[in-house]
Amino acid sequence: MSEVDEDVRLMLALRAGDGSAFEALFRRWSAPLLRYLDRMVRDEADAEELVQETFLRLYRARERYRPDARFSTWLYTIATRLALNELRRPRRQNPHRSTDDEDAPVVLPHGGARADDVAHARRIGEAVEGALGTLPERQRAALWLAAVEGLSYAEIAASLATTEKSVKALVHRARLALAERLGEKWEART
Amino acid sequence: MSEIPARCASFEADLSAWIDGELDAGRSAELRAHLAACAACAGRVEALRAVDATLREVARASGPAETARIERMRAATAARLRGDASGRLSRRSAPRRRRMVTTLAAAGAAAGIAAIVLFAERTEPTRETTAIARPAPPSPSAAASHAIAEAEQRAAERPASDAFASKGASTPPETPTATPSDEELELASALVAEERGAPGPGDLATPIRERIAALAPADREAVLAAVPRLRAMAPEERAALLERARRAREHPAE
Repeated sequence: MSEVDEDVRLMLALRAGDGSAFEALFRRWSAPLLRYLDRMVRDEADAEELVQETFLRLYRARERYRPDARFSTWLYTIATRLALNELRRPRRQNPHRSTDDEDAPVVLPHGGARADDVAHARRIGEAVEGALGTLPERQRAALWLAAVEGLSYAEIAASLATTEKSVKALVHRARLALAERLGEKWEART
Repeated sequence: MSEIPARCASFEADLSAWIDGELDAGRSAELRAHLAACAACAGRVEALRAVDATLREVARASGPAETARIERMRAATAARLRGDASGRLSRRSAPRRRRMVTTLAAAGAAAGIAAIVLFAERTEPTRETTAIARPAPPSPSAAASHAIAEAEQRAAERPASDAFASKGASTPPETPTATPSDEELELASALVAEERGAPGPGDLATPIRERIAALAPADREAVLAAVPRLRAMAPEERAALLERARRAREHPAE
């Protein structure tokens, strides 16, 4: 049984009333959700709160679950919407929120980023994570879900309630911005 | 920052999609051919891939630090699922509200939430809690439920049930009561399924409890002694056992 099937099986078991399936789903998904939400809301306590809320919503919606969509899509859709709502709360001062124009043309520097040193990129992970935090939130979500969690553009589009075309632009711009930051780090070092 | 050649610019927007495997085969082949001929674009792809490698490394490295946070969230989620509004995680500390659970259970928290007692049990394994914390079923079977709780308490107090409850105990230890019959196992299994949140059509739960309560005391104890072992089983394991018991009852000759 594949991992994907296992999620569906657990969700169907939960729908049928097996509470232990909930625990199994929590065990499987809490870590990836936490690391995603950490990056989205950039506050550990808020991220933990949203992980809980995601699972509570999953539980409450269990009877509406249909195995026609991947479980992970469903889960990340809940989590993403919660995160975006959280970031829109007045107490949040997110300067990037309104700058996220998905239809703007992608304009790029050419040959700006140095490309040949993946090992070094690992060493400067902290800097890249900092840069990730400065991206517009939808770019941040799209890149993380594509690059780290391996969701397809269609799945990300569902999570962000947008089109695959938009996701393609979001992911690319986010990746470019971070590549430039990495490039700067490399340039600064030499 | 140099000027982008037109040919390169035509591929620019597709670079990430290519990395993510989101281009169709035709476009993908065109891009591959271009990358083979254009060092600048190939370099850009590598730079973009380096971002992914870095992010994955960041994600991987943060894993160990998350263990305690996940445990805390698990406890808090369990508390909230029990309907404990005040179980909302007070940010940094996961409250252990055993007494609150009991109170809420006695107040008759929704039957479906009983499932979560099990979830909480892993976090804080206390047998007396689970025996007490089971939400009271609707009144007709309250007496039956009370009898079960009492007998279960007695069963729980026997040292033998510790081994029953421990995960991975493949062979049941000696117990003062007889080994449960298949029918008793079936009843116990149904009870466990019910506590795991299968309130079902509502007419299902009560008869199970009443049937168990109606058993002779020794038989009832046998059923309840089996409960911890069944609780420790994976759902499919339990289902298989139940199926065997059902077959054995329907075809005793086999």
